[in-house]
Amino acid sequence: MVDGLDKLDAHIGATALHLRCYNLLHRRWLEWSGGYQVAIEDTTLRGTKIHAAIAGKDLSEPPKEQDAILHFFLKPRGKANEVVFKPGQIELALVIGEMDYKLALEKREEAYEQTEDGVALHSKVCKLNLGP
Amino acid sequence: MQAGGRTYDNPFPGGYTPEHQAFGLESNKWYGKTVPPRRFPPRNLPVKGTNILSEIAIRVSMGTILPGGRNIKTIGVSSFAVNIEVLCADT
Repeated sequence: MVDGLDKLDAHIGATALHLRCYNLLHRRWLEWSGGYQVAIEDTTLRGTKIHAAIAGKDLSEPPKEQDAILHFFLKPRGKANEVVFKPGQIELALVIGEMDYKLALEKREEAYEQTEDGVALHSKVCKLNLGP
Repeated sequence: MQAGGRTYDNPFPGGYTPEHQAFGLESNKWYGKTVPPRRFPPRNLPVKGTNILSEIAIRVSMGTILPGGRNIKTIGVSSFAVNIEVLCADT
């Protein structure tokens, strides 16, 4: 499921990373939402701990064309606060607006029989258009 | 009183005293008993943007920020790990 996302350049730019993440989640999103389409232009790539926008709609400045997330892996070390690269894992989120979220929930309710917790049991009608 | 060849009158047998002309010469090994300089373990190379050669990983999920909320609310899409290999050259 995650094929094609390894061997990325660490210096990947924000736009490229945004597109990768969008494509990665797009099909799952359509399945979950019952086919509610959200354009990439309506999403913002953010860190989940540091919410500053990395790319997308809410980014107020031009996106970094390289080293978009490298700073998450740079840590000060020692008395001189020497910056070193520290491998690890970060969490990102493809954030949509509140309105899109509400519309997606409505679409999901139309598409799926759900439990009270919102867990989809089965689709009511197959309306999904997952595209090519 | 004498002990180990030293006397109170001559605490430095052989005549070596701080007043000796050779005192203070490094070649004379008077510094031999000084504490050796501390050796620190080698530090990691400072990041210069191109000397990174390792792996990082990200997790990405759908989310939204509700009005008044500070955190990102994860939306029901399962998040999953993505390994990203960092490729670059040594400096």
